Amino acid sequence: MLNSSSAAVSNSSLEDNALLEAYLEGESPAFDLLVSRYQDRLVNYINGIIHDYDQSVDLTQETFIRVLKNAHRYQGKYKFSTWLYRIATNIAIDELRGRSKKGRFFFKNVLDCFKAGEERPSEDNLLPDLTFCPGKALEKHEKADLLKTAVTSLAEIYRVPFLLKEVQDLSYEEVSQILNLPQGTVKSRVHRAKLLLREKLQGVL
Amino acid sequence: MKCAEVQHKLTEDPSLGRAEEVSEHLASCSDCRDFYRNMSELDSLTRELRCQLRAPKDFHLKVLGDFQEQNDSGWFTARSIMVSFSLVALLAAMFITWDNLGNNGSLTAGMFAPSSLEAATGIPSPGGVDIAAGDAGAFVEVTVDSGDEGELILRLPPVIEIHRTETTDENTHYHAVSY
Repeated sequence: MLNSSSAAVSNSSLEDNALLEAYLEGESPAFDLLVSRYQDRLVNYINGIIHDYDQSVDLTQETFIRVLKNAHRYQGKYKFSTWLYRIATNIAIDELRGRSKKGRFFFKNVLDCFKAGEERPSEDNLLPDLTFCPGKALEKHEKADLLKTAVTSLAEIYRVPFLLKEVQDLSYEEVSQILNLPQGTVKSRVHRAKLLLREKLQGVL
Repeated sequence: MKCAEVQHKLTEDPSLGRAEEVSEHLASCSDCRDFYRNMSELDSLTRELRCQLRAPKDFHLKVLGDFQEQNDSGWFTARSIMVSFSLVALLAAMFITWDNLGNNGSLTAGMFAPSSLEAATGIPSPGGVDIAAGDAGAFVEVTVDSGDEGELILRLPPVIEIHRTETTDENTHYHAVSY
């Protein structure tokens, strides 16, 4: 258990739950440490869902503020990271669904791959086939960018489990707790996501 | 092993390609070798995505700053509501006290006696009607300009329910039905 001195809080080996507890006892630096621990991961994760860096930063901030507001309600039933990712997922998906309602089209970067005059996918098949892109040898970071774009083009039910399991490197158990889905469902969605990505990245992989 | 089985395993975990049973199959199946190569590269690129982006510098300070700001603003709103409510309560108390003093304990006069008939009914009064509180506050004096006959002073009870009656010849009649 944590004693409430600032020196203790500065110990980065402390468990997340202990840091949250320290924050609730009045040690603000404890929360700083939690934010520092997860900020980059969350920005990456949310950006994977909504594909907009600036907004990902805003939504990450909103996630932490929601954690602060509800910190006293956290009961430790799940790991702190599970709780944090669940909040982030809800916020990001709300944003995504809000965009759909507003009719914002955010696959711009994906469709930039298509040159004028080339055949475009039909409206009911918006997942881009990246074989339309020039087939020159790509650097690893270029391939990673194409992968990111392809991930963004996946349907939400495949994208979110894939990001949590493969990009955030969480266990199936954690992902199923975050998404409130059976582990079997999570496994099959991740599996399907990989097959779809392989298909979309034909000529890139 | 069959191709479907091998590919299922490789999708789940590309490192299984090194397992003896799977590697034996891969040695003799070019489709599955391609599949293995694709999945291995997908796995490697996925790792690249893990740390591709970073939060801005001093992000944690901004989080706590904004949280503090929201808290303050929440407190300000709550405080504003409380102050407004207190102010309304205070004004109501002052009004009732004043009314009790002026009307021998009858609350209705101050609350309902209109300052002018026009204001009370919303109907224009061409003759000019003014209402003033009576000496004792038990009645209201209404001064009506009746033209040729000069001013008429009516002493009316403090609460009057006034109805307007429309007639076919477009004359408007007022009548008090209760007080």
